[in-house]
Amino acid sequence: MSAKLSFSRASENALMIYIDGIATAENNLKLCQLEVALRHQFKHTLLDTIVSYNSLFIEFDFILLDEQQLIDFINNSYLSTHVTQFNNVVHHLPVYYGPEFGLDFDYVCDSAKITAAELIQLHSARRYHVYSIGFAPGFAFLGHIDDKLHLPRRSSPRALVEAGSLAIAESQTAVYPTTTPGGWHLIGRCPLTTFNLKNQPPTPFKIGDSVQFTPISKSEYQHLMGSQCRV
Amino acid sequence: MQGLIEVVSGAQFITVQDLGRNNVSQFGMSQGGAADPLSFKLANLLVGNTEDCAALEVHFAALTLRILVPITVSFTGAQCSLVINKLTYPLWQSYTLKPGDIIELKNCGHQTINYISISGGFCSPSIYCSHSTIIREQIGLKINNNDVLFAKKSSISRERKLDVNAIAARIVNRPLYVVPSYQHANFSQRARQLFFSNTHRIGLRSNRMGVELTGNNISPPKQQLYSEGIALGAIQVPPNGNPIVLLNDRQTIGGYAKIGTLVSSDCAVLSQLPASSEVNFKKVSFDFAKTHAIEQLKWYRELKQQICKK
Repeated sequence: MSAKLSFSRASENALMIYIDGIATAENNLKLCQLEVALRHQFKHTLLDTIVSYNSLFIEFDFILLDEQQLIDFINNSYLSTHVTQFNNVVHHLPVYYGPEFGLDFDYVCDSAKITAAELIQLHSARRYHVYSIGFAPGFAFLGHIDDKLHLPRRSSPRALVEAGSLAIAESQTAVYPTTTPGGWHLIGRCPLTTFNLKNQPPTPFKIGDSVQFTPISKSEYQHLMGSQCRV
Repeated sequence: MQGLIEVVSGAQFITVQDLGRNNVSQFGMSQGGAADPLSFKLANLLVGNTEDCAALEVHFAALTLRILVPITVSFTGAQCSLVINKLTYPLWQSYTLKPGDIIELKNCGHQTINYISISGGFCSPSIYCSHSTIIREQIGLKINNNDVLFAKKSSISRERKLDVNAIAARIVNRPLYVVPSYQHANFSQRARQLFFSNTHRIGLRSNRMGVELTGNNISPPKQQLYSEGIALGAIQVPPNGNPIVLLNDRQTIGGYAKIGTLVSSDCAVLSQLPASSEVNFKKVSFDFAKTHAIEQLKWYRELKQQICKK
C-alpha cells in the first residue's frame, strides 16, 4: 500500500504536498522521485521545489501554470511511483571527534551516561539519510541518530559555530558548512569543505544521499585541513 | 568595464539586487531579490533597461554618490529627498548626469527602500543566474564607502519619467491581505482572531529576511512540525508569540507553524514600512489573492506603457 498524499496551499503561487505525516527515508525518497517527475514535466514553469522530510514545496507562477494541472499530474505520477531503487550515493566524511573541537562532547557523554569511545562508536556506526538541506547553504539534516544520543537543542544558541563542526540535536546530526550561529551540540570537526560557491554544485549533498562518518586522529585532521580537500 | 559611480558615504545600506535566484533551494541557498519588485522594475525601465537588470537597493537612504562618467540614472521607491549638485529633484525619473555631479539621497522616514538604476545596468558577479546579494550567506557584491561601481559599458539613455500621481497607489491604506495557508486551520480560534483583528507593531529586528510583528501574543499550535519549504510572505509563529513574515532573504525551510501567507504584492508594502509602524491584516481567499495579483500586474503594465511610449 502506498502512503497517502495530501495537498495544502502555501501561497497563491505555491503548493505543499505532504506524505502521510511520517518522515521515513522511503517516503522522503518518494517525494524526491516525484520532484524529478515534476521538473521533467513542467521544466522552467516551476520556480522552485523543496523536498524536506515528509513534504514537497512547489513554487510556480499561477498565471502560467494552473494549480489543478499540477495536482492532477502529481496524483497520476505518484500512483506510478515505486521506490525500487534507493539512491546509492554515499558520502564518507572524516571526523576528528572529541572535546577539543566538540565543545559539547563531554556534556553529551555525561547526559547519555556513556564513555567517549561509546559516543564515537554510536555516532559513526550508522549510515545516515539526507532528509533535508536548508537552515544555511549546504546544511544537510541527517537522520536518525541512536536514541541514546537524543538531546533537545541548547537552550541558548551559540553566536558562532565554526565551519566543519559536527553537531547533534534531537534525532538529527549535521556538519555546519559555514561559520554561523547555531543551537546544536558540537561533538567533533570535519576537515572537508561542504559548501563552496566555486564548486559545481556548491554542496556535495543531495536529498536522498547517504552519509557515513569515519573517526580520524588529530594528525589526520591536521593533514586534511592543510590539503584543502573537499567531499 | 568602466567605473561609473563612486560611493562617497552611506554604503552600509546598499545591496545589489535583481529579481532573485530561482532553483537554488536544493543547495539551501535563499531566493533573495528586490524587496519591492515594482519599484525595482520601474527604476530599470526609466533608464531604458530590461526590467530585471542589476540595480542598487538602498535601505534608510543616507548616501552620497559621485558620478565619474556621463550616465543616465533613475531613482524610485520610498519618499526621499534627492539632491543633485545642491538642487532638489523628484524621484520616479531618470537624469543624464556628467562627471563630478554629486547625488545625495536622504530618506524621509515614511517608507524604507529606494532603487537606483543606471542605463546598461550595474556590473556585479552573477551567481546561479542572479546578481542578488545575500549578506548573511556572503553571496553577491559587498559595497563599501569609496568603492567605485562598474557597468559593462558606460551609456546614456533618453530621460524618462512617471507621473507621480500614477504611482501613489502603491502606498496602500488598508489591512494587508493574508491567505489561510499551511497550518492556518491548526491555530486556535483565539490565536486567529488576535492575529486578524488586532493591530501589530513592526519589531526592531526586522530586515530583508523577515519582519517581526510585536504587541500580540499569538499562541502557536502545540503540534511538532518537520521543517518544510517556506513561501515568500509565509507568517511563522515561534513560541515567543511574535509572528515573523518571511521575506526575500528567508531561509529555505523552517519548522515553526505558519498562520497564513501575505500575498506577494503586499510583501513589498510590508518591506517598505519602518520599524514601529502599525499594521493590520485581513484574511482573503486564494481566489481573491489571484484576482488581486492580476490587477497588480495590469497596473504595472500600464505604468510600463506610460514610461515606454513617451
